[in-house]
Amino acid sequence: MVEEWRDDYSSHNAKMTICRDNVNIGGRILTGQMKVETHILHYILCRCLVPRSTNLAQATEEDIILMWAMLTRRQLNWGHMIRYRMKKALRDHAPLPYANHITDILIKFNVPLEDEPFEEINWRTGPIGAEVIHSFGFVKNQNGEWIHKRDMQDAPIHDDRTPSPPPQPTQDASAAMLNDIIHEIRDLQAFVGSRFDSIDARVGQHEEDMTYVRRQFPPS
Amino acid sequence: MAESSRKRKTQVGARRRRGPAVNEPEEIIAPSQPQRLFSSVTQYERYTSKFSARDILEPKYPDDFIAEQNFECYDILHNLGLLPFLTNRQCYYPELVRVFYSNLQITEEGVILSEVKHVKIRMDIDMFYRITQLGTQGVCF
Repeated sequence: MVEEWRDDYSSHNAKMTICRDNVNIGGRILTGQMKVETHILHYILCRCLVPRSTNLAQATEEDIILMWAMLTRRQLNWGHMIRYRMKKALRDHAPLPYANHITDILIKFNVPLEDEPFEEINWRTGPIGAEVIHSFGFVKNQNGEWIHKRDMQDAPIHDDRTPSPPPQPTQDASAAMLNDIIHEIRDLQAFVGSRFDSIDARVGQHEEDMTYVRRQFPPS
Repeated sequence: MAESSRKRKTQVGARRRRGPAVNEPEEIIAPSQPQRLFSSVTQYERYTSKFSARDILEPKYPDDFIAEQNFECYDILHNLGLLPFLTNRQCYYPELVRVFYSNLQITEEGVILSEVKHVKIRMDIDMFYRITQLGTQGVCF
């Protein structure tokens, strides 16, 4: 903990800010307990800013301090932070961070790059977007707010699939019939989409929980 | 720092799940033309013994969806000046990343020193700022 922040920082208050209202704040904070905003922030923190390969489903004390500093708009020397992270990567067997930023350094110093094998950032797993937020277990409600699945147990997924009456085969009704069909397809898309989102979110949650459990109890 | 971490305590557990190469030395992957990448035998040997088989952390970036959702956290990242760094979508050169780290030294003053393909790299704090857009002000955590 840095000296400048010692008086202002309270671990308990920081955890309260990071977690959703109705979760139990014990000793450790799992990402599944976080609000949508702080979960995104944590995700970006430990995959982009100070990336690591393990312990991703948990907020370490350091994560909590850093998130608190960001949420309270405290200015951090990020350049120093990133250099320190690069230095840590020199430890034996540590995975190497900031691969794409190193390209900028190589370009700046005119390292010849033509004919060197390169990789683009993975188009599916690289971007942090809607899919990632859904995997946290959040969905947008009708008011445009992100709600966690666990906080909406009383709102079952709207299932309205009553069969439509057989269409009347009159000529002037063909446009209306086409409309009906399009509506049905859209309803079906929405239904399937939200079901998949919900399955996706649950699988994502289980994966995170499993990662945590595996880390706590490594196979001996 | 590098000395004390030879114990590999934390990494062992992490690697165990990913593959069988747990307690064995890192697999040696020799580059096809060492002279192309390295200017000395020492560089080459350090690379083959310690860096050639390193995992590279997959780069990720917040995409336009996050920007469009009016998240407060996105404004925070913007106000902290972190977005140019975070939204970097540059491709990467896996072998050269490993060479860069293999030759990397960071001095007490924060000067980054390395060498890739016979090109010497020396980046002081100001230059690092110009390349990454990461601030040099604020608390050192």
